[in-house]
Amino acid sequence: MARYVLKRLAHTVLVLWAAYTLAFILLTALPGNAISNLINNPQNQLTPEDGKLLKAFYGLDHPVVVQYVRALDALLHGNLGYSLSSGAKVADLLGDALPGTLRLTALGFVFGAVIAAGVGVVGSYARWNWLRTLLQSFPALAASVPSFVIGILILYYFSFQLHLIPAVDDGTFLALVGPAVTLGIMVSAPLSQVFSASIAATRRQPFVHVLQARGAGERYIFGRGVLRNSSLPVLTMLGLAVGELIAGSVVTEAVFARNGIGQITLNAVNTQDLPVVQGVVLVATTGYVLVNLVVDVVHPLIDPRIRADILAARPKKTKGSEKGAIPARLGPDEATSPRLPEEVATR
Amino acid sequence: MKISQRRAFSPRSAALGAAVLLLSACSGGTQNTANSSGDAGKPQYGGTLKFYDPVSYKAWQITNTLWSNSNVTTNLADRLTWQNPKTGKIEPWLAKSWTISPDHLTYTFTIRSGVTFSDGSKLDAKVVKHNLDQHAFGDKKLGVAPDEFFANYAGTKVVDPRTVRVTLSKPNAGFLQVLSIYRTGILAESYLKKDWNDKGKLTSLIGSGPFVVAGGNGTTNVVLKRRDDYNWAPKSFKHQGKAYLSEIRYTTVPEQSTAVGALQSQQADVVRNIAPDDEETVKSSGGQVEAFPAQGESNALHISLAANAPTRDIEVRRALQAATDRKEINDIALSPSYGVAKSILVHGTPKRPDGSAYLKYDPAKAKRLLEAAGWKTGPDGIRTKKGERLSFTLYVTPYYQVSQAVVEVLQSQWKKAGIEVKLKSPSLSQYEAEIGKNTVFTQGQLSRAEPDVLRSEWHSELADSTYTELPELNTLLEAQVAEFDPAKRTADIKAVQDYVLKNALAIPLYDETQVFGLRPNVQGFQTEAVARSQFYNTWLS
Repeated sequence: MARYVLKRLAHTVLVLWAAYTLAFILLTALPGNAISNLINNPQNQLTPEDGKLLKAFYGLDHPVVVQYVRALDALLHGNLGYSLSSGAKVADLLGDALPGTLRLTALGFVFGAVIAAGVGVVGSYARWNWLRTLLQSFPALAASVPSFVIGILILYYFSFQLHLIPAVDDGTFLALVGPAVTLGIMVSAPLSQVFSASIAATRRQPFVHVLQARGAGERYIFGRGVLRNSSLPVLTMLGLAVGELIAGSVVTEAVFARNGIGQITLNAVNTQDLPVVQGVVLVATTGYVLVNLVVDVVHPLIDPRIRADILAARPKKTKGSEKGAIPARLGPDEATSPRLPEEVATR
Repeated sequence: MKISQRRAFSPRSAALGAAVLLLSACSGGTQNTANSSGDAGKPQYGGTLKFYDPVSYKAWQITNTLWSNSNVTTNLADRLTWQNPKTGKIEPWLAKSWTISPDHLTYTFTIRSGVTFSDGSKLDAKVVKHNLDQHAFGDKKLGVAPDEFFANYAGTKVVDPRTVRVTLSKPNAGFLQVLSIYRTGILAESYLKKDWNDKGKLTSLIGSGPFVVAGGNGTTNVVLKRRDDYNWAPKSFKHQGKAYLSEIRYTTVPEQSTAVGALQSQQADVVRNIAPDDEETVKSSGGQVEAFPAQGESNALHISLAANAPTRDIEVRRALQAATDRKEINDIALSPSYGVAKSILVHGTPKRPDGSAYLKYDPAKAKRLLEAAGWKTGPDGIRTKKGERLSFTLYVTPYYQVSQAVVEVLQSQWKKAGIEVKLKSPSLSQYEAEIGKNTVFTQGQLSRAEPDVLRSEWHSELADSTYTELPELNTLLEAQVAEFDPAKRTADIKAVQDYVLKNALAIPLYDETQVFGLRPNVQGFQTEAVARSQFYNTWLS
């Protein structure tokens, strides 16, 4: 397991470097840069000489390759550089914005997971057909309504009308609820869709029929077999949802006027503020890669088959005891251990 | 000076605005006259004012003219002189008095005593000199570029701790006004010593203003606190001593609908840059809408004579001028808060000449001029000449919130004269990278409450709006700035305007205006001469 995690961490470094380099190439390939745009704008009344001075000050008068190597070197020394539009240290800008975005995305994630779980379970097991139909149409609806519309509706009713939440971030937890629910609804769409479909698929598995034949109740079957089996695809989706949360925070932070990575990204891209965009790319990639690493690590904990695959891949332990571990675990106490469809089926 | 009303999230904003308008089915409402709030009794001290701005804050160098930043900095740094926004007159501020030599090259200022910066250091002749020198000459080591406004500044001599003698190499009728602009705010020695990057930090701005920085991240929020020992406001201000408000909280709220909703639900006190469509929404919930002309140039299309286009022909340019209906632009795209353009200068700007004779809407004249220039109507109604279509590209300019609506109206007006207009809506960086001498029309204006702003725009050695040296225009521009007799200078400014409009170098569109939405209890709200909110006299009832 440690080897597996180490290998994944090495991948992470590679991905980070690739993302950083790609962002650098993309932004330098675009016409103009933060400083020359400033000079080109006649409204700024900067002479070309002023521009030269600024370019020299920010080291933009060197060839692109030199700029890249310098930026990379500085990065390895923990220096992300300075914003070209505000002059602030990129690390300070990110450090200031990150906690807000983390709080927002974390709570958004919780709301998303809760909504998805609720929609998935109730939509599959509700006694009333109308409720099931209603909930099954939720993912499509939530995915097709843009999050800024959801945000503005939440603002309109809960802030402007009912005065329950502040319209603009005032640092309180209450101000976090509106945007987090907005984000939650957004990410819950794919999650609940996959969860519902996965529950339906699992319930068609033979082991469920076997359990039913043995007289087990729906609740028991759900808790013992269906939940675990149908949550695997959802877990994979969770990793992807993190990307969506980061992207969604751009819009949500703008609607709810919250300082965060989203707002910073928007401004930096608008002004071609390369060092800030680079910093954002690093942070976002790190977050994305780490969450997916966690997902990959958690997978085998939930699904013994994957664990078995990982163990099987290790040459020294292929012979003997390890392979027999699963039947041995499953064997003696069928009633309490999780049943896996294939194993049940092959019996 | 830069005018940057960034249209943050424009397409969405429009949709959201519409959504909120639909939702807020409010009716009725109170009308509010523009400028200066109604009488609400005796001013009260205390309270926190919440100010929402659609644009995030950039670097905090005092010379940054971004709307969002300058709405803050004008409250932090006092200037040597104050320009009365109503009369345009230059009044004493940190400079108690001054004398000007007969050749208009030497200004001797007496510095007010007892003034301190917010870090406790004292205002004296030495720090004033350092401020002016850094503007004029820049500082290579610190990465500070020279300031265009100080072009003919020769130097400053400290005569005694309370007296400075400023020398210019050429007379400048607008020099005292330069000293009154927020971007010439006098700052403490600690700021002057910092390099370009460090000057960009909010906390570096140590001025002698009525408010001081008390917090905020400097990118999306700023907190100012009152200075209780402040006692050097310009004499013409309604009161002396400390400001009324004890705190101002500035927040970036990019979504117009969020800001307007917050204003309606009494969560915000002042919202900058209310869109024309939202003015009624604000009023309908009892809020006040206050509009301030951004003195300086009218918002106009400037024509590049260097661009290879039919506009090289003066008759075509005159036809475009005649095909433009400014009243309709105002009626459809804007609101009564905006003045209809009647000059190349915004109404209220000192010495503004009337130019309405050149700016009459006359579709028949437009057609006549185009016919005479050889542009004949083609089968689809668009004129052609030797196989070339009379077709132009107009940019939706990202600095101006109302740009899209305005150029769309223009598109329909010009079409009636047989001129095709294609619209292009680039992002800010795309726009800044694309515009140049080959761009036929550039929408722009410079704001400065001094007619010399025309020199900054049109002189071939400055912004050079036509991208072509026009010696006659240069001479006219140089003449007005060297003229100190008010009546003669007014005539000189008129001569500049006559040249620009006779040759149809600019197509004025509307009077550049800043519209603020105010909660009903905000009193005494005012701006300095170029529409940046000056909170010294503002109070909450």
